[in-house]
Amino acid sequence: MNGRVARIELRRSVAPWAGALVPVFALALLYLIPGPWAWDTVRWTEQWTSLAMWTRSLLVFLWPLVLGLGALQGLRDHRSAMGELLTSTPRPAWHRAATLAGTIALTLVAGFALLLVVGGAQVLAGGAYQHLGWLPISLVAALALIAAAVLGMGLGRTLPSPLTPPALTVAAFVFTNLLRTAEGPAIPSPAAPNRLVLLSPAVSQVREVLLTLSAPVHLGQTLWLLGLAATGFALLAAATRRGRLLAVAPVLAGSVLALLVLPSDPRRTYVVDTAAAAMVCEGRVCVTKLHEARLHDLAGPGEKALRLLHGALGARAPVEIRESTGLRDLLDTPERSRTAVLVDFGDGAIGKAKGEELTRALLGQGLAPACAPRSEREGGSMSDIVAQDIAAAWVLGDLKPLPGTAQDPDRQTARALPVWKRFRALPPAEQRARIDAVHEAALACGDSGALDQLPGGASR
Amino acid sequence: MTRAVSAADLAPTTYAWQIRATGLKVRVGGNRMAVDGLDLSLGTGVHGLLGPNGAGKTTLIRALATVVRPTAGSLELLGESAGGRGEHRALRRRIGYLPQEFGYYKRFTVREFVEYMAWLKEVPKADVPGAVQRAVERVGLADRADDRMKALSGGMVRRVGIAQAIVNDPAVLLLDEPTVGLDPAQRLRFRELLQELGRDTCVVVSTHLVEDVAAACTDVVLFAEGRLVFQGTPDELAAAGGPEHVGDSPLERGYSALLAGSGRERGSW
Amino acid sequence: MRWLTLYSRSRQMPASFAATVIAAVGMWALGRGGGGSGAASASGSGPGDPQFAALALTAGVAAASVGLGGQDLALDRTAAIRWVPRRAAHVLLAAAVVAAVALAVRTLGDEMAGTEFIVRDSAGLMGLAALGAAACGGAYAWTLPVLWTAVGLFVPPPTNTPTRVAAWLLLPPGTPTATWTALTLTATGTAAYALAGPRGRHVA
Repeated sequence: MNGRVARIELRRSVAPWAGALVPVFALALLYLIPGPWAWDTVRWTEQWTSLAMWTRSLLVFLWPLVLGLGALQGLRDHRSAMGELLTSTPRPAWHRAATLAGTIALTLVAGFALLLVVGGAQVLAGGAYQHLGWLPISLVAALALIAAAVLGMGLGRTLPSPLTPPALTVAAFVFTNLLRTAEGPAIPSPAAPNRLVLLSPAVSQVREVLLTLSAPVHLGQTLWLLGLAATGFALLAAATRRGRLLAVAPVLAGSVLALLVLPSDPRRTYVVDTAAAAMVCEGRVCVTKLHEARLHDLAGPGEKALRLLHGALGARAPVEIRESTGLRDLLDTPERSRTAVLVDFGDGAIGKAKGEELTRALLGQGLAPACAPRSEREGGSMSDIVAQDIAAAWVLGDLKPLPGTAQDPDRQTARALPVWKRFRALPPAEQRARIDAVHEAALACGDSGALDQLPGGASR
Repeated sequence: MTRAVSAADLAPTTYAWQIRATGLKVRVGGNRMAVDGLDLSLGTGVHGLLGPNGAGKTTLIRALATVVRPTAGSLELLGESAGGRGEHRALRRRIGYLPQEFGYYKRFTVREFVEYMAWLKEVPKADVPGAVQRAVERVGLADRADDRMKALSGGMVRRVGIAQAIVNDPAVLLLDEPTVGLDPAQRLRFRELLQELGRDTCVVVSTHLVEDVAAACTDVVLFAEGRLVFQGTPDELAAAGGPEHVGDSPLERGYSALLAGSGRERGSW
Repeated sequence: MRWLTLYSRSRQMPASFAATVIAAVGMWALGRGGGGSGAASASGSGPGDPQFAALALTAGVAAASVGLGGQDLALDRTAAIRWVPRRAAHVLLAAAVVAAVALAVRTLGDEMAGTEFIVRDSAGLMGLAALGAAACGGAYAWTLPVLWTAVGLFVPPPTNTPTRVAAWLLLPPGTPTATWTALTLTATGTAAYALAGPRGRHVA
């Protein structure tokens, strides 16, 4: 590749636009529009894997746009009526194609890297779990962008009509959008066949932070995208009808190989990052490697809560505090345990609390573990949290609402106060029995809720 | 990148004519022979290619530029057959070509465009900046070299077209209607440039304008219906016509005389 | 009539029209064929999922927007015709055609979307395309409507006015924010294009 010519293309082709479009649109969306990417534990700058997955999920619309920009570039020779002059020159067409594709690949990678640098600086500052397992996710994303640009250029050159760029963009957009994967289920599940869905470079939005993509997915998608890029390049360089027909071969080969490699089952697509999910403990308090940075703040209040729980429940008290790693569907009942207080940092009552407040939340969670899940996407239920308020108050002696959730603290107090007053009026043994009942009901998550076990707590 | 023609540059020429066509036929479209059995030999000098519209001038030039492949007959350029398959890579490095419809990248500056074309013509990397500057100066666009192409007037665009054609110091220079859009002063300057180039290059200029031929060409090729009608000096062309023939100048009268003689000029235009 | 025929041909209207019809029928078929649950991660699926209608209208507008450029700008600019009303009519007519195609496809059977939804979205999107043509030229006019649709489909269900504006395309008919956004886009787009015309081409 000739440096001077590459510099000309860098200035005069769509390369700078393509390079600017990726970070500008991505950052505008991530910062200006409030969405799940800005929510605490699943925030795009919270963990390396989240950063990689969120930026990759943006390909839903970045990928079609880059394809369209490529097609615009592919129309250049036709619009400029340069065909005649180009045919008379000695340099093989693929040199020209390579220079153009090279510059656009360069700016696209630079643009995407800028996006990762902006996010990565914040991930670094935030004390995330340091690892490199996220890198393939982003490398495939960069490859997808390059493949889109090159394929767009090839198709634009092959079908030189002003309709080609918008038609390609909209078609690609329909493709990525129909093959979007719903993040609601425990394992993000598509409606279409899994292998087909994996041909779309976009991934599900982040809900379960422990999930990452499996190696066969990376491999299969790489093969498919390389096939796409090779076809695009061949179309860009082809001079004859036969060359254009032959250009279809790489994408066919790529898709066949990819379909052989790609997993058919969503459960082998999105897999738990076992290294990140490994437990690190301080005393009896354990969190995942992913959230190790939170361990220190949790350990003190956690130990205190365990002591108080032992005092309250005796032998039946949970003996450890552990971060919940079970995957569950959206709105599904969280994991239960008799021996451990299971915490989920997505639950604002625990995730956002510190010190005494955290001890109170852990007591509530230990005595009356919530049945309705609480996370950035799930609001939990008022009766769950009121039961926790009262259970914690029983141990600590004073009633205080738990902040940080979707349930308004004042409304919690309004709901809890009458129950608390009647509960306090009971003899101590009866109080103890009621709390035992609350504990059992919360663990069972049956028809009869935790709060129903308290006087006046039954829902009207 | 090294230039593969260096050996050819240094060796004594092994060909008598830069362009040599024998029985050349070129088909365009379905089955129309735009060039139909042409025998032509052109050496160093400026050759004016004259002929009525549809005579096949553009097709001939495109064949000479290796853009279209001859259907039959033989075509030798710089001693190398240009008829067969293959990329003619070494040959194309030594050809300069300005198509009739000169397309260009509008976002490029003049210098960038000529440089890009120099790269496509595989001019040795080290020579490119100098060659580009020289070509741009020769067409008088040095002061507009860093302007975008889309900001240029039609005549300037045409001159960029000439600059890109000469940037590789071609041994065969093919110019299809180069003076379209040039104002009279530019045309004068262009004729001087042609004469200068014709000293060591085989220049083929296709044109409608007989006066361009008179002023700048060492040789006239008159072409009609795909066949050679006349080849000789401008003076010989002028001598062919008499007062009874249509035209405002001796050359024009000679032109009409020869075409009328070949019985090929039809219609009033 | 002859003027109209030439004008429409010079702006690739037959091809654009064909693309519009294909897109509308294609999205109708996809929307009917149980595709509704496929993409409905954030917005939630169900009958009358507006994304297919929105995509069909976006495709139609993108195809129609190609005609906003014209073949030869210099010629268009110098031609002694009063361009302002004609250009405004072009934009509004294109929106009407896109809406009409969607409405016609609806008669095939399945309810893709309500009439108000189709009219509102096609008008707003076409205004956006006209704005794009005035700002960046006819060849790039499609980028604005496509981008806005892309963002609208990506963001979670809106909760406040800025996000409602961002997702106006997908909101149910009768939502004031969406209606006003569409009206504003139609008006500004048509006015900008009528007065300024398409901007000269950049990449060539």
